[in-house]
Amino acid sequence: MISALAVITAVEFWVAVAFAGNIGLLGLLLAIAAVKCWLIVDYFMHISRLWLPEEN
Amino acid sequence: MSTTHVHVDTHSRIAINQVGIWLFFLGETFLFGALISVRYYLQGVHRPDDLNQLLGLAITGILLLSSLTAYRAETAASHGDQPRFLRNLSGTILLGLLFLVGVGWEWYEAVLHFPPSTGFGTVFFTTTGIHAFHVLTGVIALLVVLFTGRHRGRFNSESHWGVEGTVKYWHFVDVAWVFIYPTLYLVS
Repeated sequence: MISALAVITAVEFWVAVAFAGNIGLLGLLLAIAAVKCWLIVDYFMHISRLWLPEEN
Repeated sequence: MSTTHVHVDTHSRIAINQVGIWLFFLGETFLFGALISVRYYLQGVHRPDDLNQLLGLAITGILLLSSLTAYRAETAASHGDQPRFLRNLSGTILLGLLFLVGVGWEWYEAVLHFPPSTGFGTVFFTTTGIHAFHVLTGVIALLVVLFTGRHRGRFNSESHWGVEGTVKYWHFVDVAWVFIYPTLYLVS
């Protein structure tokens, strides 16, 4: 998971450099941030456990 | 006068704790959401050229890495693996402190190029300052967990909510940075 996050962060940085000044950059960066956010919230913070049935 | 005792079993208590902490995160999301919105409202996508991009990328990597060690600490606690738990928790604390040093360094440089009296400076120092305060409180909470965890048996596979809750908070601080980093350093 950390490898995926590291790769996405590197891609994010590259996108910012390659598309600097481009009108669509903000949307692209926020979309990348949303993907990173979901990976952390799902994998590290186990949000899906909130709606799993309780174990007995 | 009679007293009614309500029995709350362990599973229900943890479920209540889970809902409570996620509601807390929801509240915090509004705070960081407001800060990020203010950046775009006041400054648009303007970004000074003097921002230290390498340092921004480095502290982002440090915080992401600290999420991994925090996750490993939580997993170790849930398996009752005390040495691995203490090792990873200590690593998380050190990475958190390293992040704060990085922010301090960034502030030292930033105050010369865009002081808090400028538009971008106001946004930059407020946002990174509030986030750094969250990191600091996270480090303090992790230190408390580390201290209590050293007493053998305090956290084990049956009871480790103290670790889980604190680590969740740490991950949330990471999530906040995931949006702050492109907002302050990358958009242009």
